[in-house]
Amino acid sequence: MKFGGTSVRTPEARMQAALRVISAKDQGYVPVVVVSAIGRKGEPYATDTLMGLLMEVDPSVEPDPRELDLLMACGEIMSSAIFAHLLKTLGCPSISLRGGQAGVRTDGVYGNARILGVKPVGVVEACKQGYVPVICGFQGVWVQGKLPGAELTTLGRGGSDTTASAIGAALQAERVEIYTDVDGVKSCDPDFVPDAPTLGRVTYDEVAEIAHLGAKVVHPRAAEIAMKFGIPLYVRNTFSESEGTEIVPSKDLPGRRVTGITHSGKLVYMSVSLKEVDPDHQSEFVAGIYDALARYKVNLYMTHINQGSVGFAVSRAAFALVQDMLDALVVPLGGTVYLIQSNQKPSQAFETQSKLLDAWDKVSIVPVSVAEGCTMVSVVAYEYMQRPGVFLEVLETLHQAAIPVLQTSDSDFSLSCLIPESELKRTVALLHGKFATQGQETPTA
Amino acid sequence: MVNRPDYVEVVVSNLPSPYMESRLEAMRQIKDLAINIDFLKFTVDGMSFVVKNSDWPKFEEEPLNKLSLRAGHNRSVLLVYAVNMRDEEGLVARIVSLVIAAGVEIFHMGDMHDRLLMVIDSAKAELAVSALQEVYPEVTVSDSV
Repeated sequence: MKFGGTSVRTPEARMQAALRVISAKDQGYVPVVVVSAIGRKGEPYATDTLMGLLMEVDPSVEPDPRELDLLMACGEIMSSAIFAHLLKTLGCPSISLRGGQAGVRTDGVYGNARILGVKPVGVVEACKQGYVPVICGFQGVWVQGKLPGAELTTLGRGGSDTTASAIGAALQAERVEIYTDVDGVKSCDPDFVPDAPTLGRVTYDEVAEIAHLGAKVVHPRAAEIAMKFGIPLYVRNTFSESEGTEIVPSKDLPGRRVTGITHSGKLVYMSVSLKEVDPDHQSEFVAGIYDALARYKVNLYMTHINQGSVGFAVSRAAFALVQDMLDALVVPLGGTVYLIQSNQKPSQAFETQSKLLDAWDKVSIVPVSVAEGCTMVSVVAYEYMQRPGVFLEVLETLHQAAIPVLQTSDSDFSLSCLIPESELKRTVALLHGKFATQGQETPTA
Repeated sequence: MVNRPDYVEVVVSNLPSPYMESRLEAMRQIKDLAINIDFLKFTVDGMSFVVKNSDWPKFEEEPLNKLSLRAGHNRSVLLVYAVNMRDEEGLVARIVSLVIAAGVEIFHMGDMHDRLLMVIDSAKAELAVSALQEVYPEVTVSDSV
């Protein structure tokens, strides 16, 4: 049973969560609990707040990832100690365990460690002795060769979900329940469509794709672990008695259907024109751009390559970095020097670089056009995208509503449209009304 | 990695303005012929997409033959599996740069939670695979699915 930040945020919330644990025990289950840090962003003990403590020492000095991990893990440590104590006060023997004590072993990538294995000896022993283990989510340990002790690591975004799935898999649990403050996986963001239904059952692939495209439900890594080990996964509301969402293997839920409508965060679409790049140099030029983006660890959306241009969307948070990285970049290829201009108005760096290159015979300016204020809305569907006319239906719906679509992207499970952020709410509501309420078709042979 | 062969890349250009209406009209005609398109991307004056080889002959029929079409035959969709790609910062860019640097042109791309899909020349699929395996030796290759 994993309880997210909002489920352990207040004494009242923790009581609700604790009563669920006790109820499970009373029903004959052997509950194992995983907790997140208390509260959400901005609240005193939330992970982001703890990170801020290091940042405010000197904002110009990037904290060491090791120190950052140690500090960030404190939120879950506090949460587990408080929750275990609460269970004890309610007459339920309990013991808090850090990730390492629960046997979560990771690699040594601070801030985004991967779980290498789980040896839940301590968890099993605690259960045998009649305790309910309350495990800190989001953390593990990296056991180094000859050094004493082990290094504490954190698992990155959604890490507590991953902890729950991994512990569940290691224990061969009957089920893993992720408790949150919504009734389950919704067919779209209820902030945009208040009556968006809760999905009773979805497949691991669908839920992972929904999460990948922006919905904050279950972390894809948690769904992947549950899928791999065949552990039934549930998303439920700590504060209601609704059935929640059951996440099942594809074979248990056949049939063509639209799963839901998701939206991602704020994006900026950048398009690098290749008109001035010699066709013989284009491959090397494009590879160079992508190599730079990879070195700067930039996540890309809506990637588009053709002979005339290269386009991609980046998060607004990464935009300044990408723009700076590309601006005034000099790419010498086969006697031609290509100079990239990523600001509409030439920057000082670009002007300086341009002057320095005056002596060269062949200098070509490669302009980058930028569309700020974008976002991505996606139709996530199962066995649906292979149907002729799907693109047409989505684009026609948006066109009739005068919503401009700047670019599209698709995969086996989804179709995404890049739209102006100002149209987000209308787009989600429109696509949800048109597609997500169609219901499920009977499976075809 | 998985290699799905037998695709054709189709580029529709010189559509009359307003472009979105023209694109939709072209898509209506394509739908009427029961052709499924993938990897749709807008270009300045048209669009490009990918269809199965078996659907290509339908483009010879009226009214699609009136569109200004360019076809790239013998395309494959190379799927590179990477669980939870979004959290692996820079991974998509890294894969793309490796494939292009190996001399393989990428015509289209798409992504899912656990895979990157690239449309490439079928004849260069092995080259792309080798380039990726050099950096990611743990990656295996499956047949078409």
